[in-house]
Amino acid sequence: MKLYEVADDVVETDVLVAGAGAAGLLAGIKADDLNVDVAICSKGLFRKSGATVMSTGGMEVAVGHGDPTDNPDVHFKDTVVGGEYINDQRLVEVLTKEAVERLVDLERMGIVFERQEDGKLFQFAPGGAHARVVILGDLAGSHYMVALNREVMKRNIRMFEEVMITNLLMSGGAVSGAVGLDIKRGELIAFKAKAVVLATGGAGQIYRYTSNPVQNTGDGRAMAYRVGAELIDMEMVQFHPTGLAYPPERRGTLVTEAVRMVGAYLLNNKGERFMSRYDPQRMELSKRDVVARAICTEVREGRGTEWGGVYLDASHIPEDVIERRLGVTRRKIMFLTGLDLAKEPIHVYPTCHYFMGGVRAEPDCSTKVPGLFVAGEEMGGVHGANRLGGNSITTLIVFGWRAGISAAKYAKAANSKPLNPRDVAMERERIFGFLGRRDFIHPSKVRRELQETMWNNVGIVRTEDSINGALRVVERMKALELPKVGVPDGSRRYRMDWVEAIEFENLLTISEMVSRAALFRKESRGAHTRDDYPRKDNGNWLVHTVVKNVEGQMRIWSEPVELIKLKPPSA
Amino acid sequence: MSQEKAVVRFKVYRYDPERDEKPRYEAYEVPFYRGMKVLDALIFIHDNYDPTLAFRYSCKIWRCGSCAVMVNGDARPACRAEVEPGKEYVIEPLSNLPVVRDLVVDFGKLYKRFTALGPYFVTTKPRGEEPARVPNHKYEDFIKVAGCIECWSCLSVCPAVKVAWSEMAGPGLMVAIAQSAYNPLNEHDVLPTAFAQGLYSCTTCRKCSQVCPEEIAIPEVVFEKMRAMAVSRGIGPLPGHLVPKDLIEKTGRSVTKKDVPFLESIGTEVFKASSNAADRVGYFTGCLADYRLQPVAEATLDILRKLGVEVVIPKDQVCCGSPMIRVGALNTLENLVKRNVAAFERLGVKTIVTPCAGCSLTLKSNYPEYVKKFLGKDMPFKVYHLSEYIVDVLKRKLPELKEVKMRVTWHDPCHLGRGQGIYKQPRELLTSIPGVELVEMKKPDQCCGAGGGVRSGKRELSDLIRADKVKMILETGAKAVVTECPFCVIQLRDALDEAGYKNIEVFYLEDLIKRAMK
Repeated sequence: MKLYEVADDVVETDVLVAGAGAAGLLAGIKADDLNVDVAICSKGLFRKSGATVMSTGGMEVAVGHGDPTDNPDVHFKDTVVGGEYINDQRLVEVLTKEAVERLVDLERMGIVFERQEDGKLFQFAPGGAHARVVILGDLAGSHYMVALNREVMKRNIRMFEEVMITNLLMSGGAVSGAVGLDIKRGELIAFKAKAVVLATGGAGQIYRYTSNPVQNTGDGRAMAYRVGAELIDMEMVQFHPTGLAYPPERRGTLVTEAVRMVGAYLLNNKGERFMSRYDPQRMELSKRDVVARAICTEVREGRGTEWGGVYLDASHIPEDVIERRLGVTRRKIMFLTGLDLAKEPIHVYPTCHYFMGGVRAEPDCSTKVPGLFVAGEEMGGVHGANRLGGNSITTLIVFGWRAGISAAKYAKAANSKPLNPRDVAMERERIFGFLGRRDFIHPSKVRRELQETMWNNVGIVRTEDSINGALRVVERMKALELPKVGVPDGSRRYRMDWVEAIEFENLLTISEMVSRAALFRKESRGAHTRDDYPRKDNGNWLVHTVVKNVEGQMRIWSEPVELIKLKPPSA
Repeated sequence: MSQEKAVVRFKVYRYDPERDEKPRYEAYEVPFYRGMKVLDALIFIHDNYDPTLAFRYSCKIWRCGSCAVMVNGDARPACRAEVEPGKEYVIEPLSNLPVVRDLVVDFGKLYKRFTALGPYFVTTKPRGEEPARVPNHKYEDFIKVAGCIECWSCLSVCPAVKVAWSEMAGPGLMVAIAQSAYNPLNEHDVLPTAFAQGLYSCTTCRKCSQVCPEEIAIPEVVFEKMRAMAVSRGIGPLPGHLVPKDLIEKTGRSVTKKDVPFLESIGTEVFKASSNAADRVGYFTGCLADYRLQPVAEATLDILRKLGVEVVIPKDQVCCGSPMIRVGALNTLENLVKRNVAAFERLGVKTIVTPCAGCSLTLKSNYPEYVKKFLGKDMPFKVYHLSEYIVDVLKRKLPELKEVKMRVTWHDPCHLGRGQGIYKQPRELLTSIPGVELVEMKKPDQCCGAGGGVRSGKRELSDLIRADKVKMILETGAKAVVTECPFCVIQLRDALDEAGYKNIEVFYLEDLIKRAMK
């Protein structure tokens, strides 16, 4: 058996990057800087695929232009306190220090930051006391993607557009490449690579309501899991407090935190600013998990609006401020809801937004699997139990940068490992097996049931019973439905249904990880709220949950968090 | 709720180049709900009727720009295209690009073009420890173009790209160049590339900004702005633009004198109304009605007088400056603006009326900024296009019209339609003439190719653009095409003549009205 008999195309490179959001692109750029060959794969279109492009907020960086009392140490503290002390503090240290350095580098790639008239950066306060978020109107992510994409094009880095990496290939215990489906052609590509960077983003698509784009099906986490990488804190899923609740078909669409940053109120159906009962000091700008839970509680206790949400009211803010700070957002809301943010309240309810849990990595972005690196949202442990607004772009930038350097250095030192055609053949069989299966189940049907189950059972508030309910569905789907998922045969060009079929197993794997980790952590902390264990328990649960594939079994255990710099007040 | 049962009908382009001989359209009915977008319908079709339907999407909130398609002939992100119950929508892939399958196009050609343009950021300065100190106002131009989501809708509707992509990189790609050009820290000089790749191939027809989901005013903030930068560096304008520029500088008019100009033919400047004046307006003739299309000027004066309006025509008025603004030659402007403002103020005019699409647009949209800049005050006049003035302000019917039996079609000048939102008023005047039968052409608002200095600077491109227009006019079987812009009139006349249709007449609307008033 020869490689070219089982793959339609064979691509050889030093560093393969899966995912072309900001983290993936930066990883590619930095690897290119070290003169290794780079290939970047994007499941969707260049510049467009993934979540980065959707970000409207900005990047947290303690450069101190907006607030002279701010610095990386303060940023560190805010991030760890915000994360309820289960962050990997080594990663937070890197995040906060290097963000300041990266600012200069980003500007040298054409990224523009809004200024003050004296030429210093304009910085915005995201909920905390410190004006720390650098912005460009409300364009953040879209603009970063434009600039980074131009940089990649300028360097002539090889880009594989609409190529979904479906599985990693291993040789002698180390990563040796990956298999990808070229969606436009319906062909299989075998990538031979000395190092692989996973930067496929989050997995919001396991939930019925999410702010994530369609590509975010947890592919990277699932692939890493399959080759034996460890994943940590998978129960920690951030529900952004303000997704649209109306109209129902738009439920889950994100309403940026910037709306509350400019001073909008959250009101219940009695017209009360209910945050005064949950966090009288920070009110609407309290931590995301606190606000999300508060909204959930208001609705559960009958104080919600007719659309199952609460009001987000910005009508008291001068129209010119809204136009200047939230122009894009205002138009977006107007178009989606028919409501004018500047004039009337809109209905909001939390929506799945970000995965704090992910692949366990060292500060150099390496994982337990030799040759496998992770960057961006793929990486677990940076944000602990809750992520601060504006810290996600910081994560993409800082760790995308690092992953590129680390992968390139690794690739330079590594010998090229041969791909085993049998592995590629197996993957081909798996991928092409979805086509023309008899009595098949359409992936979009089971996917919807899984999403509903996860939303209802392992969503914002969880109990042992609800989680077990979800696990029963997951187990049933693994046994009965997964083998039957398929799509009609025929032309293989641009088959979205085929891609959905491939994604389904990944969604199932992530759902199982989130559920098992949620069942395991018997306390409430940050984004993880257990109705049956409503208190935070630093005595027993100042730990990471760790998930690993051990001979086909999902094993889960805990490991204490190393509090190298900052300890919780009571500990 | 009756709406629950409502459906929307779609005809979706289906094509697999590998297997199908030719494209086909498949019909689907999708249950309607309030707020439904084309993308929702496509997802519904995919989930419920045919999982093999191929289309792209990602973010669903037009941040990513993946899902642009043609909706009833106009491009836009499917997530940004609203649907109404009971209606039918034809959904097709973006035009000007090869189809991969169904609604999915191949961007390979576009990326190649993009790489050739190279709108990149370059800095040679050593890396500092802190971000550069740049005052925020230096980013004003950049902010205006930074919001592009690269959905490429504009590229699919640009009349220049359609006929000569090699000649014109296209609106979206020029936005990318502008982002490079306007970043104050970028040392990469992109203007020569912009010039070579179609900076002067834009007719400023504004079709791109009409479909732009981010409402970027591409002709103004990209083309006109970069043209001004090019002129100030001696890269632009084109040789063909220098003739009107010289003339304007010497004579105040953009064309040479041939017959007796209208302004020289009138004895007085003030034409009193017979009895109590309904209103008092200043008539801004523009260059062509003064020097070349005198009958239009005479007709305009007649029409206004017959409507009982006192008409004031300052003889010292000059070119509005539009031809120079469009090509970026802004140094002529101060003189023109000052002379025009002084001329109309001298006669106490408060309201200016003109039947010229270009002049009215310039006076409305450019003068406020320039009057402020050169005279330090607010624009002292209200400006109306003549059709708008008669229909919306006077609210009067044209008096004493005789029958003119004629089948006509209407061409919307870009600067009147998309420029000022004036579509229905001239049609109302036109159809108020007894005997006139209006047959709409397929795309009455498609550019004729004359504007933006393209006719004067790039004649061949201009000719290519207008060919489509001739086809559409012929399809209607009309005996005449009527419009409301001197450039369009001249362009369409030439186009029809050269295509061998001298028998089809081209009217300035006022000409036809005057014929009916005789």
